[in-house]
Amino acid sequence: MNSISLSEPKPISDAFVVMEQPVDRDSDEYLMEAYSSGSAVAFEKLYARHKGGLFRYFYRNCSSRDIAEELFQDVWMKVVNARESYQQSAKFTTYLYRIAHNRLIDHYRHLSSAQHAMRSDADNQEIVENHSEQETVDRSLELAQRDETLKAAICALPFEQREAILMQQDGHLSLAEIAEIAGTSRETIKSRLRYAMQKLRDQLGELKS
Amino acid sequence: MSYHDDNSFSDEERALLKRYQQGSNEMPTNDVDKVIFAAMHRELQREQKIPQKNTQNLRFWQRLRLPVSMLGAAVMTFTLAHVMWPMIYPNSADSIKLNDAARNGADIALEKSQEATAVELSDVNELRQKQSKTALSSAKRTQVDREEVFYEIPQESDADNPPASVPSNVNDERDRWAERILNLARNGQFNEMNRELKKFVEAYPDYPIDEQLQPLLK
Repeated sequence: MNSISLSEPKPISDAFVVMEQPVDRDSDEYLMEAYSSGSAVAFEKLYARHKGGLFRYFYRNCSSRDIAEELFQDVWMKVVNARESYQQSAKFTTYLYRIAHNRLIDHYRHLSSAQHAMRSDADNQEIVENHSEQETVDRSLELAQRDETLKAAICALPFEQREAILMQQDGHLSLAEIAEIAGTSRETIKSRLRYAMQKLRDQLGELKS
Repeated sequence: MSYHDDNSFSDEERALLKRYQQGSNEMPTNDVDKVIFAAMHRELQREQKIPQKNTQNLRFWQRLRLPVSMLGAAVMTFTLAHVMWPMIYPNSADSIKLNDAARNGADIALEKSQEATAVELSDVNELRQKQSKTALSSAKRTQVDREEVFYEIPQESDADNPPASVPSNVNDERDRWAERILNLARNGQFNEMNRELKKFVEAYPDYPIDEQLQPLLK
């Protein structure tokens, strides 16, 4: 992707077409640039657009609302303070979730528990089992419980698979963007997602049976 | 699934993910939103406050303390240099006076030397003019009589001869000429002597050659 290609220069007409492309005033990048220029409204719009996905990314990874809110707040504080130094070198979501990824890794290191990062299988398995018990008790809450069970199953995934599926589903990032944030290849992310879906199907199939 | 750039999921997996997205709606509390918005507004107002701080929020003394302190330092330096210094070193004033006197004496000597130089230069110029006139007449005469010229015509434009050496050269030539006349008298060549004497007297009318010739003629 970063290789230099010697291609023929574009004709002038094509250059004008590129120049005349309208600026998307609703894009994340434009809103961040507007905030860098001093627009509070642009930041509020940007925040409202991404706060849910980012919060759920932390919430699923921490299984604690307080910790998730703390990490979530730290990430947005960095975005707020990066107003003057922000330079658009990638998509805003890539920029945002890279900060989130690094903050989450720091959090895990701070807890001195790589097991905590990779845990899931132990702690969240209890959640999954509890949900399965509740499901058998009250059939009327089956649909709601099924959603909770699915969330718990996602929380039970290994960290790398969980992060990949959360970035994709909650952060709406592409495979290439997730790979860039995680510092790995697109194919690796693809296989992580495949394994994650396999585990989810297995767990939910067991619950159904 | 519009953000998904891979179609490898099966229908069952897609349904699973769709169900997850429908039920995944947790949000941070309003308190977190307020904290972040407050930080954002602080960040935006921070830059606006910085220029005001330099101009309006400063007090009178804060604005003027730098120029006032600079002025005070200048006044102290001036006081030390012109008031305190003679009190600390009293001899410095006498030395200054002596230096002034020496400087005046040197100026007077320089003026005198300049005057003397000017007088000498005027004498040299007069003498040079006189010699040039004499040499010119002698040269004309020697050319008419086709006789030997015994001295060279002084050239004013000769840059090799400095002006200070002209009188000594003239005197040497005059003396040599007078000595040659005296030798002619001693040898008894009176005709030759008379011709040279006549030329010599015309060239140097003030020279006492008659007094030197009298003993020889007797």
